[in-house]
Amino acid sequence: MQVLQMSLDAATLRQQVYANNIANAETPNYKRQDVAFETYFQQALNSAPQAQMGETHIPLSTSGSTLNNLPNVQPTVYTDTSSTVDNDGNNVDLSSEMVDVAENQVKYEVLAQDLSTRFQRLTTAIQGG
Amino acid sequence: MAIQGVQSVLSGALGQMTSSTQAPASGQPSFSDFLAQELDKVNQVSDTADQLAQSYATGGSVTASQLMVAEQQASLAVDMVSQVASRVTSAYQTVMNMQV
Repeated sequence: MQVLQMSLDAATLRQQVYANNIANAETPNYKRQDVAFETYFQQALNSAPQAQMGETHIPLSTSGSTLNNLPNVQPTVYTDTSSTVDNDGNNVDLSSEMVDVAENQVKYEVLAQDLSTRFQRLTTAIQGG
Repeated sequence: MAIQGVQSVLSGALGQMTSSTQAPASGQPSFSDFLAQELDKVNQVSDTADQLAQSYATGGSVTASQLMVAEQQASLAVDMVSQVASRVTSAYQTVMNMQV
């Protein structure tokens, strides 16, 4: 439940960031931003607890990370400098932003549906059908 | 899928109930064992749904359809337990209100 809520928050934030990217698609020298959330989790789950991960290092508890003991990861906004830059110093690709928005929207809807199913289940358990 | 176990649940439960005046035959689980076993299965279904949800939320290789099917299975299992509980209670009350 906790993870689902955090993930929903991340999806909301991501939607805002992508909207901002699209709004600034013609702004000279604007660099697109993105939200890092899932990658943090995947790195944390795949690597040893004490592994140093440079900039994206997450402080993990000494007990290590299992599925039941997920690291407390906050979604973070970062500036993407890896993609190609236009003549005006802008690296926003409008169509790829649109694809990202659509993808994020699907994820948001699935998560919202999932949370709603879970709340419904709890209601059933409490009220006894 | 745990829901398909309903048929065997019913036949097993009825068989146990009708023969409950005798001591349970060796090798056959008692009714309470049986109930506990089925509850464990419901728990497993729910755990699977939890794991899939966690994996989906953290960017794992779980598709939306897999997650939705698992969640619906878990919900159905919980509904099933809830219904069984209320039916058992109502059966108990029916027996208790009988004039002897």
